Amino acid sequence: MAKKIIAIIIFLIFLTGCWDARELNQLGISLIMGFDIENDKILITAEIINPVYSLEEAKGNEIQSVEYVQGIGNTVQEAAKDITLKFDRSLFIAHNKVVIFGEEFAKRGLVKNIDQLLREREQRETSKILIAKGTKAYEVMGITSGVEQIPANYIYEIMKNIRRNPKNADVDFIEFLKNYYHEGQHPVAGVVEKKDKDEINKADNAGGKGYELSTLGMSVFKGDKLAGYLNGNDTKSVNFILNKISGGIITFPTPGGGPEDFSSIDVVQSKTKRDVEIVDDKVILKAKIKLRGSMGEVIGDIDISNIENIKKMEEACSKAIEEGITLAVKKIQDEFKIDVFGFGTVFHKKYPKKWEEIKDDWDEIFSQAEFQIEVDTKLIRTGLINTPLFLKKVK
Amino acid sequence: MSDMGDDRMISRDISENKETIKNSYHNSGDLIAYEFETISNIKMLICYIEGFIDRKILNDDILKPLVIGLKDKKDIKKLIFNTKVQEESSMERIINELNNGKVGLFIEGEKIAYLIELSSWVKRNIEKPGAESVVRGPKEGFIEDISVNKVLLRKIIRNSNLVYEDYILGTQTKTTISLAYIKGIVNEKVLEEVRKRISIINIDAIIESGNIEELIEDHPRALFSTISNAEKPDVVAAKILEGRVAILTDGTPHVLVVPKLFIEGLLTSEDYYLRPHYATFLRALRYISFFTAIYLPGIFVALQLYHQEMIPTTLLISAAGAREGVPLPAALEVFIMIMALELTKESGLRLPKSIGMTVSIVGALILGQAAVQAGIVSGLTVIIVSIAAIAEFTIPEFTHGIVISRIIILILGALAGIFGITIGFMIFTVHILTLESFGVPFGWPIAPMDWEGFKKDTFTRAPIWKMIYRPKALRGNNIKRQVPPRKM
Amino acid sequence: MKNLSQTETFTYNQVLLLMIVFRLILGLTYMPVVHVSVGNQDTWIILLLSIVYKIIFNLPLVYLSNKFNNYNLLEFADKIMGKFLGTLISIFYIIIFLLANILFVTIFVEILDVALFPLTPTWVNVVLAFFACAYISYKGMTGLCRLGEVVVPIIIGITFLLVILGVNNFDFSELLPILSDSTFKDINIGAINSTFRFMDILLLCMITPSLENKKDLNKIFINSIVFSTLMVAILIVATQATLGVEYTKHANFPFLVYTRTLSVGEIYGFDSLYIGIWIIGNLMKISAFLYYITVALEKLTKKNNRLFIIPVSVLLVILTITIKNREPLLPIAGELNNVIRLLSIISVVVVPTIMLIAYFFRRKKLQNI
Repeated sequence: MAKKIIAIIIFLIFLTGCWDARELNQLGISLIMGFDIENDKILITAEIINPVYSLEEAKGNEIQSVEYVQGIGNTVQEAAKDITLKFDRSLFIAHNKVVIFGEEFAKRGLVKNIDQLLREREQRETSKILIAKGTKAYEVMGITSGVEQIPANYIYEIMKNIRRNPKNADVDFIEFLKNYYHEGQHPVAGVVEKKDKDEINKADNAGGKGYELSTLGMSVFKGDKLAGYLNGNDTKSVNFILNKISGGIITFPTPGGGPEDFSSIDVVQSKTKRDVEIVDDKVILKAKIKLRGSMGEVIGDIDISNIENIKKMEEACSKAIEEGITLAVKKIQDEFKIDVFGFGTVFHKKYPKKWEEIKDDWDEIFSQAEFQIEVDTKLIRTGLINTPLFLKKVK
Repeated sequence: MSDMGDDRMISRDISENKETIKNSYHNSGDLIAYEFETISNIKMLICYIEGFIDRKILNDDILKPLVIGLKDKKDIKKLIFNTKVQEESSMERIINELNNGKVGLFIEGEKIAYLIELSSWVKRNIEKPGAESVVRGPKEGFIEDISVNKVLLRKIIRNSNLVYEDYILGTQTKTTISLAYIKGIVNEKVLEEVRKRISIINIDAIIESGNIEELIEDHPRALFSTISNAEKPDVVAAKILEGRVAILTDGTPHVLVVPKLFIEGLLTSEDYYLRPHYATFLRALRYISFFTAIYLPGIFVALQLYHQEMIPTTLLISAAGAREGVPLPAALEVFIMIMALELTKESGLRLPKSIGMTVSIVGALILGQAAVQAGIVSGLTVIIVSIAAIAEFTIPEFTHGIVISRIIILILGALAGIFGITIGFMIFTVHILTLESFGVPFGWPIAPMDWEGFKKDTFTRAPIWKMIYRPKALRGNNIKRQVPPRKM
Repeated sequence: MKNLSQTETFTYNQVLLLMIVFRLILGLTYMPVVHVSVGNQDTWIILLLSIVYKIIFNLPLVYLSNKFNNYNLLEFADKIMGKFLGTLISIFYIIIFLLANILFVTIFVEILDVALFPLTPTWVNVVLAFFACAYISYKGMTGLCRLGEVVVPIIIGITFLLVILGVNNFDFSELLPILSDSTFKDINIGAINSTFRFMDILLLCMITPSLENKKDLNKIFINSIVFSTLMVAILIVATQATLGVEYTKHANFPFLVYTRTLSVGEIYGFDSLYIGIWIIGNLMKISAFLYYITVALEKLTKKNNRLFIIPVSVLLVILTITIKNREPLLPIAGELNNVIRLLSIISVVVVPTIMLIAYFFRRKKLQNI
């Protein structure tokens, strides 16, 4: 008798079907999403891949690689549901690698509105955040230039290049929130911008793709509202202090060379230590950078097979970094008056009692504080050649 | 068991004996009952079943000496050139023993008859076993005749401690089976259990060792069999040397060996003849194949239907592209491919060799290429099912369990995604680990864990000079295999 | 065939691994200590301190088990307190096991519903879970112990793998300044709170008569506490270092969110590994409690315990579905914690202490037993 009951239960389970099963051809796989404010409502743009694209291309048919859908609503979730009324596949955002927020949306307040994205199970917390500079998000999507046919991959691959050029910011949701929650630090995020593509061969206009994207720079937030943008060099400085440099070059004037002679060092490894000190009731912000690099290029009249010259190069590099960072810190202190470097957090950890007293005024104190920096560069290799080419060695 | 009434006795009258025997065999055409007289006028009756004996030996060694030289009824044994001559007083036994290739010799006026062993029927030559093939190792296989099998085994273990205990099972078939073990090494408890279970068998026919297997095994309803069978003498010999008991059955080359451990199904005899590192690699491969064969189709379906976020993006896009235009739901597609695979396997086995090749080519082409191109199944499904099939073929001993488990896991995966597969995995593992084979836990030495046995012979095969002890769960009292060589 | 578990003994390894996974799975699931205690970045200190408290508060039960190491918990309750009180205590423990079981199943099903199958109705998940647990209980403790031997090393290995994969993202400065945000009193309260979240010591007492070597009881007790608490501390450090202290408190299932941030090159699917081991661990715990409910019922009614598996499972399924359909459990971690704490205190400390006192009074009489 018991066996019969069990059998009936089993059959019931089998008969009622599976609620959660979704066939692959019911999914609209979205790789990138944009969030905007339009007419005071929230507008979502999703870029959905056409899965037969690679097959059809192999056969030689011209077919669009992606489709775009948009939805409008009062909140993010409402907008997402709006899409289901218009599109024949259900939106599947688990493969979202990049999320673009329009400038207006970011100015309204980022963290408040993205509650739905982190509450639901599909969105990955490791998606990168980009702010569309000066435009709406959907104007930035859909632009592809370069080898990739799918725009989302194009943007994503550019973003991964922070390793090679630290003038952009590589921030995902987790890090953004981590910085946001730290008392005494304000978050930053990446930037994407639409630029006119320079035609290399002006006569040949057959390409037609007139735009390309650039992720140069960084966006700065006060709390969770967008406060402004930084240019490339300042971004590099901020990355330096936040200890996020893992590659890139430092360019500096060659010591003993002419005004057009620059040399550059490839960064192999870089470590930054932040520190705060209270001296005579004044707060001093300190940063100490240890850099190891290999010689990238040498243009100038200096023979680096000589140890003294190597030391000169190192010093010149350190000086260039120090100047650049000091400039950036000053700019942020004067223009933005918010601490994006995280010195507040360091202060909190070092002087917890004092922090409790001053934490509400930290941004003020930060803007007035003195900044000291110390850079120690070490050149550990010089590439395949030692002396620059144009100096003759054979006498 | 007598089914013809009580024990009949031999009468002094030969004609009466002849009648009795012919009636017992219902005048069967292959029974020969020949009355003859010796030179000294002693009447004798010789009975045998045609084809069971070697007529030349019968004529030369029995008829000739008797006919020419017999003067006295008591001198029979001096004249018959045969080492297996028995005096019999029970007609019942003679009637039964004629079926075993013996010759019945009746003498007029005597109440005693003689049973002479002359069996020599046609047997298959010793050839490569059909179901197991190896690259390195002996290629002799058992045949259907039990006495030849006993010889094959004894050729490897030339030891007076190798004991054969004979039983006769099957009321109608009266099949001889033989328990083989090495006295002093065998586990006495297991031996006792085997004897007990065999002695209660009361069935009418034992045709193949599979029948015995079903009657004596611990868990008749389990997915995996707890009794191993082997077709090669060296495999059986190695197993007996670890303390197991072998059951030879007349009429089949498949010899049963008890007790069985789960890990045995994943080994081959070659493992012990090849170099240890290579053997370890092959063994690891087989373990992975075991899990692949069972879980791969299920995991594939579960990921596709429920957990698309776990598939890497590019793979997802190409899988989605491959599925456009395919009419069937994913689970059904995989199920149909698996069924088609089983059909091909089965038909390939049953067909004669000449057509077999065509079937495999046709099967591969139709099921693979054409189906994908016609858009009935997607290419990815074919690949997955093929990998699962190839994995299954590396473990011939567990095919029965793998095929069924695979379908169950597929159904669970299609219904409940990874949750279903994990539940399947748990139930499956608990099921295997709680099986017992004649008192030995099936999952030994993995669970219950025995570190000594685990490191020597489970996932890795230790070099032979490191295997000092016999496996703990199987051995009797004789613990050491070898005296470890002195360190150089 | 014969009921294996009645003739089988379990080795030290098997029981140790089982106890470790029972304790570990709670931290692996929703890290209650993060939500409920006041310590922010010092949570790992709270955990390490709780090792001491766990050992202290579980002492009465362990002491009694050592003295009566051939009887399980219910049997020596009978012996010490007499037939009538002993039966009462047995019924009390049956209810405790039932409640514990329902708690675990509801939390388990909640994470399934949220993270894996949002659309599937609850009862399907619950029925499937009990399917597996009923089968495992049917095979008795033997099945569970052997399954543990195979599976728990894999679980521990995969947990370590998940922690190691995320090492690049660790930011240990999250955990500084040590001991600055919470007072000594807070830490102690947190540690005591953490102690009363586990009722697994009851399982250890129930399994004692089947231990192969009774002296191992103390070793298992201490080793399992130390090892599992250390592991959970490592998990918490990993999660907080990667996600930040604040976000960990927002997340219902912190470790799940942590595994979603792991990646090796382009492969992102490591939360599937986590889900696999977490399902197995939870189902093992539920099966163990289910099995001991039936053993307790067998002791009361003298019928074979296997008869009870199906009725008890059905009862639990119905109760779970009723509760799940009314309230979400995890966000109201405060109230949930109070319930668990109450149950835990009564069953692990109060009742055994009473029994301990009764034992001391009756020691003379019981010397003969």
